[in-house]
Amino acid sequence: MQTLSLDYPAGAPAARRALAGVVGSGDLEVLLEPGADGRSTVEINTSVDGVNEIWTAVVDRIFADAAQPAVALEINDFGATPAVVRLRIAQAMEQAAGADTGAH
Amino acid sequence: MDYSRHTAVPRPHDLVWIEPDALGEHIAPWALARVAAGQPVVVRRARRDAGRGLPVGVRGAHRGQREAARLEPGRWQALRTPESLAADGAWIEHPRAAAVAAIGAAAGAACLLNAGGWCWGVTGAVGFELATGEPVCHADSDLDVLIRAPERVPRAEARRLARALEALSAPCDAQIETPAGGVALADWAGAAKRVLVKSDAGPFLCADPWSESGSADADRRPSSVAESPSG
Repeated sequence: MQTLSLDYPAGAPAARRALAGVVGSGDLEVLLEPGADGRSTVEINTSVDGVNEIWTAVVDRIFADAAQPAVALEINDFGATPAVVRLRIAQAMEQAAGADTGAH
Repeated sequence: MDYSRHTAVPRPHDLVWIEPDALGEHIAPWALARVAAGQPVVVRRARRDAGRGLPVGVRGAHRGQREAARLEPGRWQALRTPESLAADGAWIEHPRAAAVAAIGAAAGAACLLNAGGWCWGVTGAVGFELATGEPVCHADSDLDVLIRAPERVPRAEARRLARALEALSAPCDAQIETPAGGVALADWAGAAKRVLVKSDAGPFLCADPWSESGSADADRRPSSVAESPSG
């Protein structure tokens, strides 16, 4: 198990908590909490070795816009591809913004 | 492509035995050695462009070691589907059933899934080990199962099945093969409005993988993706 911690400038804290993804191979779990004002943090726990560079590149791109709501993400990765990582983080951000309430 | 039904072509997770020279060039030497030693390759979920060959992956001896490749058209000699492995029930009196919880758990999974009338199969490390005898499973391997569902599975039913599988003696990672692509049972059993579908064209989020207008989500489908290492 490897852990990678990243942080980025951001806007005001996100509106609410969110959870996206599942435990299972090729997927990941994203736990989102509102972050501290002006700063987003991302902590990634991964079972796959040697993927820090890929993760950093993918997450850097997602958080390139410093006007996005501030979030604290905890990610548990089970070998997700970059495309899955992008979709799951986007899903959590949408839920936190109220676009996808998760109600069913 | 819809892999929830029978197709004339190999489907993702099928194991195919091939001729060593059928993978073309640019293959890692370790992967070539595996195939030359008679190990099957696993069909991957990826775009099936004409002339590019069948997407397959070679499973290495080390954990997580995989090599993506393309198989020249028609260059396979034998094929095993996940369902045929389940039908064999090779986990019964398997010598490693005690050492590997995931193999031991297959009997319980079979009881549940057969009783529920599901069309299902064994994939992943357990499927590979049952098919080849190669000890690729380890103590904390998951039991990967595939459930073919050409017809819509109600979310309440998915929740009941997910809960039942949670009681097995090893973690069970179940994937539903829908007409739109593969969806994690845990995802469909959960509360999210949209679930992640793994299709040949890449992953996308979709509210209902059985809906004809899953195409309502068509704008969200990836237009192009790089080769993905897994199915």
